Amino acid sequence: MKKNLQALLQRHFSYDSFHEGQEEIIHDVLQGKNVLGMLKTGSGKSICYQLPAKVLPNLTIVVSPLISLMIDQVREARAYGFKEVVALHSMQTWKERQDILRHLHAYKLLYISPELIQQRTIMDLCIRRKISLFVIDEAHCISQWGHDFRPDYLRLHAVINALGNPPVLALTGTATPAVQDDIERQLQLHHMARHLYNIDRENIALVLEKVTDEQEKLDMLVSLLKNYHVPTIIYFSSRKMTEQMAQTLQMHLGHRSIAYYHGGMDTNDRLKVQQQFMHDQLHIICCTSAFGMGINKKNIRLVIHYQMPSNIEAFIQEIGRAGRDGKQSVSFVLYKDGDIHLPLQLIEQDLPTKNELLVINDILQPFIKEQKPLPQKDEEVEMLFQMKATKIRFLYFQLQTRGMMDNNMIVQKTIPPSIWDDIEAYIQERIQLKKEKAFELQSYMTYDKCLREELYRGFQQTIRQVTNCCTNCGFQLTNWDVEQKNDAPVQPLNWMEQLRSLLLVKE
Amino acid sequence: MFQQIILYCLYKMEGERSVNSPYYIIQGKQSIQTIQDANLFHLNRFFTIYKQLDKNVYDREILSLVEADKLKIVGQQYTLCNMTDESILQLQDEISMYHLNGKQLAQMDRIFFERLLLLIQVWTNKSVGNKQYIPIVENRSVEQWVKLVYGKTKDRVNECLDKLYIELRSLLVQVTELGAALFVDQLTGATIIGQSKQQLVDKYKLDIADIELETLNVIHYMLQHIDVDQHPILCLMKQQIRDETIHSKLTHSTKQTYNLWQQGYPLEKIASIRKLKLNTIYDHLVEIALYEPNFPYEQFITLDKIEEINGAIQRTKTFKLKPIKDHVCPSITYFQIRLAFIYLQKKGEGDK
Repeated sequence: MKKNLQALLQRHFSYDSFHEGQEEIIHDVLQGKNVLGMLKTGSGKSICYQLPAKVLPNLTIVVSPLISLMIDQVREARAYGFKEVVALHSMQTWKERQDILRHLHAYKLLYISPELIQQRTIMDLCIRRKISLFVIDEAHCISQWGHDFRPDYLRLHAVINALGNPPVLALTGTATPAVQDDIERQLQLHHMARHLYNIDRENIALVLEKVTDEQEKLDMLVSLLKNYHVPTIIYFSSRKMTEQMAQTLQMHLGHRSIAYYHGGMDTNDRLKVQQQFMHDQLHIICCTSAFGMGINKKNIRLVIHYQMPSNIEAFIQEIGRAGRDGKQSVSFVLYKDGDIHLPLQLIEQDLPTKNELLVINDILQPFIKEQKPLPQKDEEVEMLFQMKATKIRFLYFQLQTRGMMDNNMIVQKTIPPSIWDDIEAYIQERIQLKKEKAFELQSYMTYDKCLREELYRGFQQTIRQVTNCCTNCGFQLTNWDVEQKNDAPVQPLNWMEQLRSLLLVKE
Repeated sequence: MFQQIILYCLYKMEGERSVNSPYYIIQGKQSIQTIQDANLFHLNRFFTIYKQLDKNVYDREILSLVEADKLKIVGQQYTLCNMTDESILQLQDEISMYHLNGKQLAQMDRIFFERLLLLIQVWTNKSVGNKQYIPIVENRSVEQWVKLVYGKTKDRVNECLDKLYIELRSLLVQVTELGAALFVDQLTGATIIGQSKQQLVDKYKLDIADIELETLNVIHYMLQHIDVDQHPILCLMKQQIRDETIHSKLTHSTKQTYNLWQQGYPLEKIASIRKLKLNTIYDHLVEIALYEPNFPYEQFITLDKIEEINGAIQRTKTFKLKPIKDHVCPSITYFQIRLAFIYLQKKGEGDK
């Protein structure tokens, strides 16, 4: 079996050997067991279902949280020569989707969102197509998002059931024991085979630099980038900030090529920036958390946090983009007292406020009286309520679980104040929980002993000892033996020379 | 470039249309009114040159014209200000340097550019022996076309690339330095990924609309100057696209009417078959007349009536339907007047 799997890996993906955990997970999956796998970021989680998908007789479904992630993974699988892969998502036109569904028999691997898989027609087609394996990628989303704005994550157990209970594989890069239990509970699968691997990254040294004001932060960033010419990502929480900082840095670092990246950009532009970075044409990316998922650049050496993410899981995911080739890399956090205010503010904005609940109640009245269905599509929802669709989706789900709503109809004559109080209390509870998670990350940022222990404490029992550990264990950038790319200014070519070299025409 | 084109459109339509009319022409709105306007005011070359044009971007440009005291808007009407003979000449001069020909090349231009982009990426990657890369164009029909060409050329990609270089170079030296540089910057090879539009905005300090139009200008120049002997590869590409798109000029509904009409059904019958108003069918006929070189005008209007309408145009100095209708024999319909416009227009072009 062991030899067999390796041969398959070589044949289909041209890799010589498995990363830690892949083989064990694949082995159990092919035995038909339900598996919960936790592997560190960058260890090739997708192989764990792509290889089985290739060899199993019927269709493998992968439930994925983000469209961009699906698109990237399909693209990547195809680039590796796995062509029977497709994604079904809400950005496609009705016709495109019909096209895919009509040819479902031609595919072996289908990426889909938790919302779409629950549509009747799609579900029926999948049942008819027969399912070999049901995968939930980034399974921590079940616990992280399911309770808030993506309630469809909490209904996946019904999907699995309707599909005739195929083997299930839940994969994640960051799940605390509590989250692991929650995943099992929500999927209603007991005794999943758990393959939990250490997620601490030995080749990422953790640097924490405390500053007193914004100017010092900027100065430190500039001098860091001046001294280290390596592929770099800088994370921010705000889109606007990525654009501004890219511009500011360009002024300070004239000849290095810098770009920004965030979810509000045109897809085509995003794709180009990603690829330029992959080809080392860009050296520094100023981005929001939208950058990274599904980006498989091996030689990212430096991940900087200029602003604070909202929890430890997000932070681990983001620094995990460094050093996928195993070479020594650095996570560099610039922290200033009070930095937590931004994530706290963002957390408050995620769920409806007390006032917004009152507004929503008013808007609902005519729908209750006239027994009209409520809008479902994000744009329509936002038009009607003038609020972010995620807030309303959260609210629909709250009304549904409290028996006030069935599908998109309000089924009670009135929504009593006690229900609103109840929902409000629940919101407060969620916000409190998230704030606590933000404070957890803050305590990492102010910790004075081993940062590595503090960071992975919630995920694993022991930490592997490494030489280049963290600031508090004595690591300094001067210890960092890193190969620097000399990105001295390339003489700008005139267009004719540029065209000639691009088309590989000899002089 | 963007501002000049808007200004020029406004100049041509002054007093006849609203300040938004250039937007519909540039953006290529598929309405009979817009199609006919583009024709009537000799603005066909700007029809559909910027499909993705955001109305806000357009409005901002209009506002900047107002702020620069070049334009005054009063209600539905607008007037141009401070347009001296000299500045008009200058504008016309500038416009005459553009190679844009939207009416003829819309659709074809985009397909041509996307195929070229992907073909270059595929050929260069093959040349360096790289099999794993992400296609820069995500469009199934473009991918299929490139796959077909690749199948026939994969054994001689270096030769193809050498030829393509000569062909592109000989065309690019004929356009502005800026245009050529913008064009080349967007190409993706084996080791270089093309620049995004937003990156070009930063690099050249131009607005996004100017980047779009300058690029299109180069593509349109190419499409109009590709020569069968000098540019065999590009010529083949162009010819194939032409064959694919010749029937796609008409709007969808008009195409259906066109098919019935060609089978010889009278207009009233077509209306009842299609469950449409007769007036809608008239709209379709007007659109067909625009594209059909051998349109049988005599079936719908006599030559002396066309002359009568022509006289009314001269007297009223307008192309507005209502005043002309008031100046001709009451039995002449709006449909006939619109057909007469097209007839006179095409005749005018033929005389030139």
